[in-house]
Amino acid sequence: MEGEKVRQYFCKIIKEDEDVSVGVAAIRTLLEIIKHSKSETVQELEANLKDAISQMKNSNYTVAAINSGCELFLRFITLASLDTRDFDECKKIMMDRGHLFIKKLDDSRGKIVKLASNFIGDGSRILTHSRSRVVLQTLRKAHKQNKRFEVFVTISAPDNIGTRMCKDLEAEGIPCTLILDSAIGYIMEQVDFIMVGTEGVVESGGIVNKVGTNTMAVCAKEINKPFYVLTESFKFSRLFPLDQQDLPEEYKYTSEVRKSCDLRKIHPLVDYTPPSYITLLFTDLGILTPSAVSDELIKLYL
Amino acid sequence: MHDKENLSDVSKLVSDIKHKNILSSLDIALRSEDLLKELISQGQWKSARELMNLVKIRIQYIKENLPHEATAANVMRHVLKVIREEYECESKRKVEGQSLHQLVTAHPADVLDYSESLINLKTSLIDHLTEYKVELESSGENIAAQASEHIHMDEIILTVGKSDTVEKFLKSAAKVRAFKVVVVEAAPLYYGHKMAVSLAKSNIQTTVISDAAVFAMMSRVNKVIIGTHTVLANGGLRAASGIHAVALAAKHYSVPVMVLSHMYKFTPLYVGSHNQEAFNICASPANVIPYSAGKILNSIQVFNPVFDYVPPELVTLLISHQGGNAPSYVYRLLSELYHQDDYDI
Amino acid sequence: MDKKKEPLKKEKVAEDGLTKKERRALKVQVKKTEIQNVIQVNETIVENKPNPEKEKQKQNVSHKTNDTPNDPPVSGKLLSDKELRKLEWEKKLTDQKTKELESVKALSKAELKAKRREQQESQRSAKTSSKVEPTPTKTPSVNIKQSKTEPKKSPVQKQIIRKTIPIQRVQLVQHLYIDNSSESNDKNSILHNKVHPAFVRLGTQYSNKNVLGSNARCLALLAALKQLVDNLQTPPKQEFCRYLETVLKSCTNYLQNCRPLAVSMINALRNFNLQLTQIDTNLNDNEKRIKLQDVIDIYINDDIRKAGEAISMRVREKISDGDVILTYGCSSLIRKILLEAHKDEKKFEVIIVDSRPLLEGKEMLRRLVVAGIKCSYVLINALSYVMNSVTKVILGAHALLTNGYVMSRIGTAQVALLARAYNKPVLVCCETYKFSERVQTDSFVYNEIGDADLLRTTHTSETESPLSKTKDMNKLMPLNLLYDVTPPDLVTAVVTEIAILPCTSVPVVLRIHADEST
Repeated sequence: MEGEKVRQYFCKIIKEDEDVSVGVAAIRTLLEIIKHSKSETVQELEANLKDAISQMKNSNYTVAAINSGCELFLRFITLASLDTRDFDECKKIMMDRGHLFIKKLDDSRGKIVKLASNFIGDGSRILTHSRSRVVLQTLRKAHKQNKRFEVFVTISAPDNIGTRMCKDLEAEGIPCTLILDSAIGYIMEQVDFIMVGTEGVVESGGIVNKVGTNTMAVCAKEINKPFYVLTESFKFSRLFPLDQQDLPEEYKYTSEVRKSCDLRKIHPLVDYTPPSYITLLFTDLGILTPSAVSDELIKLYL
Repeated sequence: MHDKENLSDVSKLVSDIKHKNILSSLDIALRSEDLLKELISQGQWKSARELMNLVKIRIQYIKENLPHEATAANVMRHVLKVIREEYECESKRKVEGQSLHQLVTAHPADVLDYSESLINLKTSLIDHLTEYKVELESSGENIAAQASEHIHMDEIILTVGKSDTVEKFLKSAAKVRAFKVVVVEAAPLYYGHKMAVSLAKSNIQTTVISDAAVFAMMSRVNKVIIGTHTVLANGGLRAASGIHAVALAAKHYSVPVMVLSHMYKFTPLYVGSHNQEAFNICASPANVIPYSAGKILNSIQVFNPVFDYVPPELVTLLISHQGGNAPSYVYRLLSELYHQDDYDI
Repeated sequence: MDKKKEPLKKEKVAEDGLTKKERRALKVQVKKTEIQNVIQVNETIVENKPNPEKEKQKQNVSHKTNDTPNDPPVSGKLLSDKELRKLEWEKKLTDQKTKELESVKALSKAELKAKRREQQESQRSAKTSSKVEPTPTKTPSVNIKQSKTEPKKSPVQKQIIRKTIPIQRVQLVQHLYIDNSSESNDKNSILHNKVHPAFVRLGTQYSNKNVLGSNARCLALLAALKQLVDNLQTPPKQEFCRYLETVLKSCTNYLQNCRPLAVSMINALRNFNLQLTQIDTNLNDNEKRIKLQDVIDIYINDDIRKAGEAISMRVREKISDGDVILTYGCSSLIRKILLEAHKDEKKFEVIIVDSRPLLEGKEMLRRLVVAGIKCSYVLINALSYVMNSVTKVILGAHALLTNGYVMSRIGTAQVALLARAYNKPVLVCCETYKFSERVQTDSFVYNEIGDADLLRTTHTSETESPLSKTKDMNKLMPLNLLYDVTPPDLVTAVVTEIAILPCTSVPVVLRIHADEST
């Protein structure tokens, strides 16, 4: 499959299904590629996949989830191919495993929602940042469990996606207040805890998420409010940023922006929140403390 | 269902705990272990799965009746893990727990059913349980044996209330070192008094202070050594009331807080409510203000909470019979003690 | 031990003069049920003192003089110049006391309170110590025989037991124990140093913890000071103010030995001494007296009463409807603030936190409940449990130190620490007269050790605490500290009559005060 088609397929998946996250879409794309692949060796297949990955990174979506998801998928594939000799059989195994993998990924959100909704008690006031599908589903589930709670959402400039989150919540009947990004410090003393999603989870146990998350986390730490992160496990990546500048540029800016402008004058899309500000991570592997993330990654990659 | 009558063993355990016939957590652990041993040797079960179901029913019973009694449930959870291990050992198949690695390498046929009926399962389980009992009984001494590593000459140690584990720990250190102990009396039950008398009888220089003097005293204290009721899954503690204040004062003066805890106190539960209602229980207010106070008791509310939540950032070290650990490592200890699927029974 | 000896002697004496003793005992009982220091009498008598004079003095201090006819026969056995002079002095005092009795009706609130407390104490001890009652009257006659042989031993003996200095001391706080064996605080030295009986009474009130709280202690001191100024007769060839200064010094030394002076008291005395030096020497004695009493009244009105009202107004603005206010122990100022805010129709709830061994919070609880405020009561270990629902924490202070630390009842720092952990604002209310130039960084450098035995008994459980049987164990010592210091970063604001200040502005206020008074 050529580059253009890859990108088209990828974008099509994202546009069609509202609920699909970028990472899952990327993995599905890779599976398609394997299906239509005409290569004869494993190495060729891998090379094709790597090409496709770089194509997807060049489309205008955030790269963190694509990176981690695809790396996991690749590992998945390479681990599978060690046994058999016949390439077709190998391919078949890969396809089976791929479908299994995707099925697991689809289930992962449900598991997270079940864990996280237990932490929302009656009368809670929750603060969230930007729009995260997992958080939205968790709030929906808690609402269905007949819990009464209130949500504060940040507008989250520059794309103001918080307004959409607010609309979605109000459509469910959950009382929701839209606040300015700069009003986080003001509202912090009134909320009970914070729940955010992530684009990616890094090796230190910290997270990479829409810009403004770090501010919220620092503020929460100072006022002693719990900071909960909801994330699927395929978003774990082997990155270890030391500070905000240490984040790779492909994470912070989309591909178009990277090509065109002087990066010093552009606002980044994401920021890095260190693990010391995070209380708990809710994943499909269970509830983890930030130090457990590294444990999981080590088990996988070493 | 014949299960209902079989629950008489658990209901006796629960009623003993409620009526304070068994007081120390070690006794509770040993009783639970005995209960399970009987269940395994005499219960009606054919496969590992049936046995596990029986145990799960008991855990649920305890959870409903004594939501804060973690020790019994934890021992049973551990036994569930033992059952799974023995089963896997016997059937020579290995199932990995949930992890990224498992996500990646899983085979669809890998799900273990536990429903095969294996011959040697019963005997191997009982052997394992006997070992576990020995471990339970000796954990106190194992913890106390580490005492000389942590307590040094002329240090001032602060402890709160009465804990058998801490007592043994301090007495063991006192045999080799000379140090002083400050005991906080822990109103309203004043267990600290008993602890102080016991320590002084072992020739340890002891001072008793009231709960209000903790912050004032902390500037001179070198270490805080306390016991706890439960260790939660995030590394936090459910400890006796008043210990949160001690931990905060220790943090303020940068004094290390060491918590001595047996493995059966590690529970896989998290504290979700931030307003203490689900977390805490309240005891009789007569210990706070006696009934002799008269008519004003009609117009006031009196609280006597039993527990306190101590967040993991305030705990420096968790000492168990295997050695010391940071509170951030608790998730790993939990995964060794219990199986992932048994976390939220 | 002493009590066991006395019954034997009782029998011997009883054969001789039973009726006299009985009469005396009855008289003594009547006196004791009215006002004053029964406890002292019991304590001192139990310890075998040569106390005919002292006993009489105590009875005189209680404003009744019926016993004087009995004195001559008893004291006749021990006649010496010193004792004669003492008796004369006492007669003088009793005359003065009768005058005072009339003016007693206009006593200040603190005095009344103190008197009521003493009444209760005396009633309580009269009930419980009825067995001990007969012995005091009998032992004097016995002691008279003994006292000839051991006049010197008893003062020292009395000192030790009266002050209950623990033989064992906690090493950490050795520097804080009061060493009283060198100072003689018995009546010999009192007369020798010319300690006014009002101060004697005050001293016993302090050491028995009848008067608690910095404001109450200061007011009691100023009332006693007023009496002193009123009663003082300058000996010839001495100037009124200078003589007053020396007498005042000996009185305050006596008080210091009973219980270390509070910062409020020290500041009040300093102000008084300053005014004393500035007084116009051309006035006659009576005019000076009136002027000094005015000075004291102004001080009480401005620096204590009006300051309290100003603070109350400021804090009232900060209390809104629906507030849950947490307070610790019993502070007269906080009580005043809450009662006035309640009168002002503000709807709030109060959570009172209390701690051992003094359990002052109960007093606060009683007053607030009577006024109709919705209250909750917890011990200090339950702070984490209640702190979530609290909106404000308001605390009283004993003193504010120059480096911004707040010195207050022990446990206050803990309350502030917990409040900070839950992010609740902490307000400390303190009049400016309590600001001190001392600096202190932790609670050990300067503190007061209370009675360790209070920790050995518990007020609620039916069974005795195991500590109560361990008085002889030298490896086990209860420690009863009375004060602690709260660092300024745990306090949000200090409310004074001048303004609401941050904790760090204390030296600024002290500087202003120093400028004003010079």
